[in-house]
Amino acid sequence: MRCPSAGSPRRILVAATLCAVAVSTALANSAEFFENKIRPILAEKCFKCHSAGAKDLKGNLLLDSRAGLLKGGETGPAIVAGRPEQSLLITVINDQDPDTAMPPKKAGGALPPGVRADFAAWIQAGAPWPESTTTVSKSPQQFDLAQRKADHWCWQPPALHRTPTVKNTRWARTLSDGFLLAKLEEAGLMPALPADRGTLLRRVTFDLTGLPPSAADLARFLADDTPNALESVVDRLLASPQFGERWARHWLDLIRYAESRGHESDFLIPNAWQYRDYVVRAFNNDVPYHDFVKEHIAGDLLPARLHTSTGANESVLGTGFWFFNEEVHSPVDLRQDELDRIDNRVDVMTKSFLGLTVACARCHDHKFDAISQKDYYALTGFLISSSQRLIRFETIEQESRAAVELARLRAEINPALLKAVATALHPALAQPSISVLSEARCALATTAVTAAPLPEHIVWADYTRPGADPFIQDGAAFGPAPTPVGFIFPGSSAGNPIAAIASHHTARRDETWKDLVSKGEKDHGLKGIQRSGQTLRTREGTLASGKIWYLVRGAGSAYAVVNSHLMVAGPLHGKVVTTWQDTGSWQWVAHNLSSYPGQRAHLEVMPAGSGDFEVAMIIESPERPALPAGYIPVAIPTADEALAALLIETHAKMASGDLGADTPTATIASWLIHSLDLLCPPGSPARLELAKTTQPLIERHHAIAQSFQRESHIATAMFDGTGADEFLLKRGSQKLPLAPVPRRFLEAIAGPTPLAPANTSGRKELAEIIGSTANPLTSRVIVNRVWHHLFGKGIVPTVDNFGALGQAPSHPELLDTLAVRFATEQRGSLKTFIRELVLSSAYAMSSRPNRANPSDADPDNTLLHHMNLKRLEGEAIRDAILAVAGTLNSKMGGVSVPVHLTAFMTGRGKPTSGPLDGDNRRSLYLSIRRNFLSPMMLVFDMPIPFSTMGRRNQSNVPAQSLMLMNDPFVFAQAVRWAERLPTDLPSDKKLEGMYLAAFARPPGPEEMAEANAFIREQASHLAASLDDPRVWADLAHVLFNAKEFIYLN
Amino acid sequence: MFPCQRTPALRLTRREMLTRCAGGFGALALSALFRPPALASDRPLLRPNQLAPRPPHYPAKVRNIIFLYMDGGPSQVDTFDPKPRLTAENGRPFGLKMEPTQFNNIGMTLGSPWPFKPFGQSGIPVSSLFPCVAECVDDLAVIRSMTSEFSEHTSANYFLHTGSGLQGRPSIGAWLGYGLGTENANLPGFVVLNGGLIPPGGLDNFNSGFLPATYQGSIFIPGTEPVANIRPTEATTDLQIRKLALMSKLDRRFAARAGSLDQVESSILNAELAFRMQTAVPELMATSGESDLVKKMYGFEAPMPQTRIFAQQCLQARRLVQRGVRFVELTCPSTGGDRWDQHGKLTEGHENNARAVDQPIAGLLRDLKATGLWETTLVVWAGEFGRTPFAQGKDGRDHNPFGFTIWLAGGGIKGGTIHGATDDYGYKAVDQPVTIHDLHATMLHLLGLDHTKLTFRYSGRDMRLTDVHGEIIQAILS
Repeated sequence: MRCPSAGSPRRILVAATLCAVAVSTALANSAEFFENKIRPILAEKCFKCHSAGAKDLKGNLLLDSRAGLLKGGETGPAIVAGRPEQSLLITVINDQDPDTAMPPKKAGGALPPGVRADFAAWIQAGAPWPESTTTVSKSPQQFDLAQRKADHWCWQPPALHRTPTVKNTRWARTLSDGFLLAKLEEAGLMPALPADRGTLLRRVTFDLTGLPPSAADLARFLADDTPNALESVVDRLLASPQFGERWARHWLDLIRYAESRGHESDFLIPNAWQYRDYVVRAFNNDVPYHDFVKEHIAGDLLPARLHTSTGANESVLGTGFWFFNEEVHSPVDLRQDELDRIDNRVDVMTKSFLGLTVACARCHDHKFDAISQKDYYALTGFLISSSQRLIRFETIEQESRAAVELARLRAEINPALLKAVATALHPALAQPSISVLSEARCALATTAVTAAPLPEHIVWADYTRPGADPFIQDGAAFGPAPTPVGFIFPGSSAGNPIAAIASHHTARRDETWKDLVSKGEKDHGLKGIQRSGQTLRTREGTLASGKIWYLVRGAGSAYAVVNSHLMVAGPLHGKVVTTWQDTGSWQWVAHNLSSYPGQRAHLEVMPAGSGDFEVAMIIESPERPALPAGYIPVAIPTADEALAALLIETHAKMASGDLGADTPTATIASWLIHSLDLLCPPGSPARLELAKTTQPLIERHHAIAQSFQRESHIATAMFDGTGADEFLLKRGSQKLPLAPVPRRFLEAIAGPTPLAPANTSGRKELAEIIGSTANPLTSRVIVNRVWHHLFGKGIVPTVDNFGALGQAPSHPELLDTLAVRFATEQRGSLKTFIRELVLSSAYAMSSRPNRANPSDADPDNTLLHHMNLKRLEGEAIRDAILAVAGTLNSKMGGVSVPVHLTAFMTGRGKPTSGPLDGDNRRSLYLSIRRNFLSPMMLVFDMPIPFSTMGRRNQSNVPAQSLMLMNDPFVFAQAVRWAERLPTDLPSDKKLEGMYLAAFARPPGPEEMAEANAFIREQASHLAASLDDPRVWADLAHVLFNAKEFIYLN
Repeated sequence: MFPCQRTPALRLTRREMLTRCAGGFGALALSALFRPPALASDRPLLRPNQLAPRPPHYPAKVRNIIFLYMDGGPSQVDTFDPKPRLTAENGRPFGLKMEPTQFNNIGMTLGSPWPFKPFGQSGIPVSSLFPCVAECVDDLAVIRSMTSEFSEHTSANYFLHTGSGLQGRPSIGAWLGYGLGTENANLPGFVVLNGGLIPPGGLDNFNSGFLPATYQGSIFIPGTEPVANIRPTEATTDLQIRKLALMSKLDRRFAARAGSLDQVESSILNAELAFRMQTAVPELMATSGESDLVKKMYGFEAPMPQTRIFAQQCLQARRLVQRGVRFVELTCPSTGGDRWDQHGKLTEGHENNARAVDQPIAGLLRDLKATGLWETTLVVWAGEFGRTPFAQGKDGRDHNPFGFTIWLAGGGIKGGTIHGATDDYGYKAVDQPVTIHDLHATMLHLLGLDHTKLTFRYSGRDMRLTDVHGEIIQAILS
């Protein structure tokens, strides 16, 4: 049902129905009327969804009793007896919108007018229901957040538990060993024997780096019989850059990392790889996990974490993860599209960091967890309050610092500069000559234009007064605050110490920022506008007439971000971007957004090119505004005496070091500055003196102006706005908005108090809660993820869902203890935590159960009595093939290598095919274009990037065998491996080396014999010698195909 | 990990395992090689667990589905839903309130350029675009009140294929594999016969989403390598078999050493299946054994090359269902225009597209009857949406999800039926609107699956192809 207050056509209809009511009230008060006219309709059209017998009760509304009608459902009472005009039931049966009307299309759609009149009459008559059973027959299932919270473990704060006492104290080396062993002993099970050393080395090397151990690693480890042999291996692996590459890939599975937007044309997500490299660096640098989480949510708002050597802003890169969702090509309904995009972002955020399925509460309160529909919309508000930008992350910190320092320095030196220039102008202006006056008249005189007041309008941004509007920008090009009238921009040479004087109070692009160079992939579809580092952003608002006007000077562009629509491609929405030329004076630039009435938007404005650029205000008005007073050219007196007086007066103000704040004075002063060569010729003593006086000041200014790099790479990141709350959407439908829900975190964890302060999205505050070490879920979820990757199965097997429909933890005390220690003692250090786990006795177990146990004991290995067998991921399989073949290119980072396209990979947006061997780079660096994913990765279960996938499928399909048997890449690598084998070695030695490389173990005697026999047979079949690389390539190919190659035991 | 994997697998004892593998891969594979072409009646050699046939929820009407996917959205008012009013008001402003369209370039009312005529006993009218299909009209249940929720190709394609407008959900073919397994262990259960066009949204229209990858659609393309990596690397079978024999020995030892028989064993079984597929797939694609008469009926000799391509696909579709492949989807050949997506040049585009598929489809319907597959096969003809009854620009039609036509034929279907209706202009469904969820529910129903019970636990929800929607379209069932 729908809010009864909406829409006028409906009211008219209700009125029309009421006329019919008057006639039939008497009749309607009879039992026959009810039995003949009302009950059959209710039964036929309504009971399927709204009765005790309904399979799936809708809207908690029962229409099978009078009490049910009076009590109503989610939207309140269905009827008010005697008052049809106030009865929701009447409203909805008269609703003309087929999406919201009742009965729904399914039930045959709108009721005939006569039937509707019957219902109105019946209600008017007091809705008599001739039957004694008037109790509500079925109590609808209630959503009780507090109860659900109390009933489920994941909402309770984790506690430290004492390690249980065990008998086999020698086995229990680490804290986790103790917890595991206690349960095993209780079940009467023996842990498996330790794996042999080669197996263990292979396991830990793959687990920590995603690569096989080299022959040298293996030899060293086998020869090291000191007690800390494994520790040194683990420390070496944790310190290797490949650690970050390995664990970054696990992370990318969570945040559905992709480099294109999928959908119709698979447009690029610009510079996605910068995020991927950020993750690799973060893992390698062991950034505390809780900080890492906060950076994802609000790295743009928190104090920046800087790259240790380049000074680039690292933390802002984390926010790129929000934008790895699919984007729809030219959606007809932008609002619906936004709701779907944001659903995905909430889904990924809550699953990845919290192990919760909050997005299930988009249309209704969560069916099982302590998550209300309000919780969902409270979170979506953070996202509609923020938008996307391509940030100059390498220089943003330098730029912001320079902007602040420049402002400070200018406050200090500007009066001195003004005075020095006044001194230099003194000879010419003490008594302005006729020629000076005529130059001034010529430059400043204008035809008179009458200013008109602004038409009725809505203000989107006003930079004409200090603090009139929030001053939000990407970068620092517009300075720390709008530029006041009379403000002086120092020049770059002492001979011309003032470059410009502001004649208006505006947001003005600083001279110093005119030559920015932003490197990297640009937004698709934004018509090449240059947003990075020089964009002004208005507040969030709702479009009315959609006729937007920008009061600007200089060439620029504007981008209207309507319902956060980003991928401006295809036929429909090109109008959100507009560009204009410099006219040399102030102008109102029109931007027609009239196709988006009532839609939420903000506007972004930026200069085009390197000329002067300033924005005074942005308004919305159906009428074209005239230039307001102050923005039409200044009318100056033309008579010699008056003009001379004005020049003298202006000069006097300059000499005082303070121009004041009026536009005419600033305009004249500005002319004086630009006429310096005329008024004080170069080489004249006064001009030389000017240079001498201002030289040290200009040098200081220049030093700061040059203190930031002009060239920067750009990366996708969050751009914070002024904040907006989302409506609670009934049944998730944009057509059924209820009240806005103030932004806050989940009530079950942080209570119902709104979080968001004025004029920001509030993501910073959200980050503090989600990244808090006190959050009951954040630490538990990550320690469980690490456990899953190392042991093959999480303590909570459903790693992305800790809710009621997830699986319960097998070792709850262990999980809690690990989580608390990780957050406190270990300070969120993943390396410390991983180190502890891989040095445990449990991790070192063989994958074969202990023979002492009954063969049917714990068949699912819930108690972890032996190591789980793990199938390597597609990435690790391909990387291992490259490593073993000796072709692996260890280059880290950078733009992805295009995937090699096969004949099967076709469709719109098809990219250029990459090399078959992917430049021998690690699989992490193969491009991830949604519509053109690597077939080898896909067949080995790399997740399709659409939502969080913390636990990959381990499918078993013939396509995997076909890939290893017949894919040209695999065989080519076998050939490379064979070609690399030393030719002078005897067969047995060659074989041993190959088995060590592939399996970290030598061949057994029988295997040696079998392999030798194979070599002989292939050689004879090919009529080749036993040394022929073709023969050995066949053996290499067999080893790649062996199951042992793709499994970790 | 998944419900289906949680069911106890075929747990061989270690001894059985060793006995079984003792013969080695070579012996097993060689015996497979000398088998006659695999037909549905043959006992499949192996049944890896995830693909093992599973009983339906209740007795099924049909065993297989052939989905004739009309990429781009054919126009209902130019094919199966005649609207005299459009012709009467041709060139005048459109008479109904119009919804936003994808291209927002709305022209005048556009009458159909093609005449309609009633056909068969049922007298169902068909336009002159489909002269051959028209002759089979008594076998079709024509749904004239089909609706979709999306005006953009990609979302509408995902919706039609997966029941959701978002990327990454399992395709209906994958759901069927998950629900019913496959009848032929030598072939995948979900095959897409690609005529040359991949629909917007790409391969994710055919993917397995959160279901195990086992169930994803296998794309067969025309040519010598219909399936990825199906051609052996080795010059001779002998060379390959020797490799696989050595591999099998390695695997046998590894299985014993690693201690987890299930995973490694099914991986070994897959290698064997892969080996057999190398023979089964090319055999399937070769149509040399079919009679010239049959081929001619499909359109192998048609003048238009695209007709000949689609004729091949249709014949292969029949061969696939004959071999027990559960779900076969055909995508359209490229006729140079933009699929059925005629934003302009409606006449030329629709005529080319119709000519490419008309005779092959009629051939397929007749051949299914001739080969006794009619009663066990459901044929579905549908695009992702229809087209606007008003023009886009001068001579095109824009996307229209509010009312369009699809048809079903074959087992369990009441032929010669018209179901539902659009308004006088053919714009919106007004009588008995049918949703994509209803279509899916009906397709599952005919295969004996209750769409509300075919669920997969993912992310805390029991996911369904039909989400929380879907009603079986009883009126078209026989």
